[in-house]
Amino acid sequence: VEDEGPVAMLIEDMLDELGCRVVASAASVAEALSHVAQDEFDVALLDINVAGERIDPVAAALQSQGIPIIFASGYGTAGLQQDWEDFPILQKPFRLQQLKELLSASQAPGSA
Amino acid sequence: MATAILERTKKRAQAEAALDFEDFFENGSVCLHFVDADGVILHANKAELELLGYSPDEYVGRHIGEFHADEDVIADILRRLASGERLARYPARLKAKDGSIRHVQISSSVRFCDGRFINTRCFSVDVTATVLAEAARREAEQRLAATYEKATIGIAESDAEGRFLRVNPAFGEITGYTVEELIGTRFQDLTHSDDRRRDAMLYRELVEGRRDQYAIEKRYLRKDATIIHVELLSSAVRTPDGRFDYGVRVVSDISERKRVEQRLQESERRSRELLDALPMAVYTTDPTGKITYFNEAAAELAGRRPEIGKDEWCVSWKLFWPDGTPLPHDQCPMATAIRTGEELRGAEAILERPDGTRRVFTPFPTLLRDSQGEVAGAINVLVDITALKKADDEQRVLIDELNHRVKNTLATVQSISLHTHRSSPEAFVERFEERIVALSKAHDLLTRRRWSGVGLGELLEQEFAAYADPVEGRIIMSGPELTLSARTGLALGMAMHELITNAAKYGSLSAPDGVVRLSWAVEERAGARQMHLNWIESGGPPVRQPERRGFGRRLIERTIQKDLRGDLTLEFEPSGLKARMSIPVS
Repeated sequence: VEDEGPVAMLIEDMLDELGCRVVASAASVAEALSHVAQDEFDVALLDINVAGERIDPVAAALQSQGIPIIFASGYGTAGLQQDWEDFPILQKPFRLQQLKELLSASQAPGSA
Repeated sequence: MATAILERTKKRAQAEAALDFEDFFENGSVCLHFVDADGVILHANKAELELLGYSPDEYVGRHIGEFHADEDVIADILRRLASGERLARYPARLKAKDGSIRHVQISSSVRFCDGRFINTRCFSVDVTATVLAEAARREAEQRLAATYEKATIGIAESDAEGRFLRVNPAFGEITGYTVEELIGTRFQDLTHSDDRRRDAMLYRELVEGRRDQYAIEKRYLRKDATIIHVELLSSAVRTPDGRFDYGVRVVSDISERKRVEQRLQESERRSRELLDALPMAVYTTDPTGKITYFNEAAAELAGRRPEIGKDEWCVSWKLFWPDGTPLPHDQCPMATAIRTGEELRGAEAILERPDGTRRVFTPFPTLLRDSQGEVAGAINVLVDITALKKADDEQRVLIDELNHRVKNTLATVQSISLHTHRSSPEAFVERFEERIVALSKAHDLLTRRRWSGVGLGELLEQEFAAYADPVEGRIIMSGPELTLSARTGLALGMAMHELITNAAKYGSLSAPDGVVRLSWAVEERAGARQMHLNWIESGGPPVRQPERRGFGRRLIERTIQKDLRGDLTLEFEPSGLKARMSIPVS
């Protein structure tokens, strides 16, 4: 989930390069929630502030389904609610290698 | 024989009478002595010797003048007696053996026999005690009179109606009249009209015996028409049977005290007015912490009016520490200052008003001391720093927001760099620079309006400015002025940049006569606003459907369709590219 086109394209390309398949790419909380409800995927990469909305409802829905989450944010940990403190976070901008390590840690099957 | 018996009886009676006389002479309580014609003491009785403290040897046989204190007095006495005068209670002073003086009254006469001076018989009565008492009484009277005359407080005696019977000079000075003018005048006539009734009423009670005395502050109207403040103590002197005899009125001038009091009140009133007008919360307490004063600003800050003399330590309703935990009033900085003397500076606390709103403030508790240096209370100034705190918080949010933007922008730059490199490795530097400059210019526009929005017209002009020289008059724009949100402006700006770059490289603007027609309109539907924007190229080289989707196209599709949730159609017609987009706007 990422609301800025160029950044979303970058992340999609990085995931592609790492051998992952991007099931869905959303630019708003509403869009993201509908994908969580409809699609099947192994890991979710979430921006924290999406077009002025907080990502928390999406994170909560993913958590209830037991789907691993990686946060990506310009805020760093400061912008994160306490509920998500223990989840891995990528500080934008990040490198391919950093994304790869976090995907491995989340044990997403596609990253193996 | 009968005559002889009679004679014997007569002699015996005479002898007894002589014995009786001798007893009277010796043991009587009256002092008695005999002196001869030369003044030599022939005999003195026990009472006289005891009065003066001499033994008979020390006294009898000496000249009477030796025992008189006043030579002229004894000379006068002896002269009068010698000339046959009788003395009755003649005052004289005798010298006792112990050096003290005895006052006596002498009654004396000379016994003559056939015209011959036989002796004098002197009866002396000791009047020392009486004389001394009289002298003391006289002195006391003189002293009292002097006190009365010289006293600096006014003293007056008045009759039952209040008429002055006697006044001292000080009373005259206070009222401005002479003593003579005052005698016979009623005190009521000198009293200020506002005080007259009260004084007269109390005096009436005094006269009627319903009270013994009274003390009041009152004003006299002086002879020169000025007003003088006095303290009056009035009491009554009564006859032994309890009837009113005369009134005593003691009056002292308290004008100076009144002036000082007035000045003090005036100064206190001014201080109070100053505090009341101060646009800063101020209140005071006594040494036990009870609130004694608060100004309007304090009531406003607290959102309530504290109860004077009942509320303690602080004017507030509820107090909290900066971390939000409750702060009991008796532990607030003011309470600490009063109890320990430590005047805390720079502390922060939060008060809650009865309506639930909260204010952050900094207290400045300061002890107030009296002239002896004892703590007489404390004054507290509460500085409302709520706005400052809010600004602080806003600044923190702004810095967070800025940090977020910078990081996102860097990620955008990272993406542009990567994709530019992939799509045009041969012209990487040129294309990369163009894109970064375009992004930067869009930022400039947004910054100019503090990121509150951007005008569509100025956004387009900015994007096309880089191409203004070669394409002057070849981009024809038409549409209403429209303000876009910062986010929409930024995304649309990037899409427009890709379109114009493409037109300049491969499209209509790459040919000398090619043009771009750019038109837009806003449509309102069910409360939502939709902007329709058409980009139509013509006059360029024939257009073919591209074989692959380059970064530019991907970026346009991505930003319009996903980021801005709009519709986009790209028609690659031979006459030129047609891009139609429809974007929700606020």
